[in-house]
Amino acid sequence: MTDTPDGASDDTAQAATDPTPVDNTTPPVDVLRALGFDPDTVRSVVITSTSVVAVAADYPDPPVPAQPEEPTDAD
Amino acid sequence: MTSPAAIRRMVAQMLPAQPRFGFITAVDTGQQLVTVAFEDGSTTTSLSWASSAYPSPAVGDRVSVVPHTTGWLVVSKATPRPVLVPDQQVLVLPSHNYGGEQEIPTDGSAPGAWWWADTDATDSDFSRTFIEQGLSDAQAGDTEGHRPPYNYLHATALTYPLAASVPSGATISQVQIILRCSSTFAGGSGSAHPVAPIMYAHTYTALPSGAPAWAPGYGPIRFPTFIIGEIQVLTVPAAWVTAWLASTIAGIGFYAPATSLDAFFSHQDSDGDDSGTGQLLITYSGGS
Repeated sequence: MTDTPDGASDDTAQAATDPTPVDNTTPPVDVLRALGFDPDTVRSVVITSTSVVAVAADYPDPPVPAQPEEPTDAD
Repeated sequence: MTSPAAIRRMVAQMLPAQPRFGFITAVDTGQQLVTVAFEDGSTTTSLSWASSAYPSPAVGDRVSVVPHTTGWLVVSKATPRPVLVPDQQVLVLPSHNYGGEQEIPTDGSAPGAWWWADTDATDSDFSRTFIEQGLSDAQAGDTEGHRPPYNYLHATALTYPLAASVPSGATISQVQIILRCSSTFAGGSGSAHPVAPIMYAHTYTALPSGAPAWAPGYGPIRFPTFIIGEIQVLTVPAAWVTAWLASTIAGIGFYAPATSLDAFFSHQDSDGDDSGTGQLLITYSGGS
């Protein structure tokens, strides 16, 4: 191994590509990375027994206000 | 005479070292040192970090490393390198379309039953994409059968196979429903009256009974008005998509107890309409 940014190490380079081990103490951001997601680009991830699907952080919510009550003809 | 190679070495020695980017592969909090794998494939151990600006280095962080008086220093977390993964889109038909219609007598007598139709993949695309909301104008009664005049109150609850429509590992960047204003009724069927779609979320996984019970905390959302022949592509809020993926909600619906909001929104025409009306448009990237 080397101590300068100009050097290279096969061992640590391999370590960088290995899957990140995850257990119940793993911080959520590291779990997201282990699942292949960039924590900065997703707002939520839903894991089921059959799939893992994320919702993007830059998902464009509809530009309309939610209505607190049911609309009627008075609206 | 100085050789060209010697000149190149002299020039190289005069160039200042440049900041570099890499990914942290190990953190030694005891020694306050990290290992960084640089983007050219090289790796460096035992790098210090600037704890004031970057207090909590973590494995996987993309960081900038700059030359310092005593060596190299990890100074900050860098913006992730953009990953140019093309978006993909898929159009999805409803897996179920629960049609609701309640007859409300104008004389104050008891209203009729509610939900009457569950159309699914065994039915035509036309019926699966048939969406109606609103309260009809008064309908004529039947003097012979002593049936008083009445109004129809309409609701539609739709389910779509959201999670099953994208590959595992995907990131959904938008979920939309395509609606076409097919007919409006306030002031007479086929009027040019503009109508706003009123969208709710629901938890129905079978044909409902009783008055519509929409999922609390998810809407209603009033979208902009449109008139007969126009198409809107409505974005489902991100929080709804997360809830939908987690089965906290089962789908979306349209409902409005108002005659001014009585309309057919969308169905695929039998004349070959291919605009995707009544379908869910899912935009995503990645996945296996």
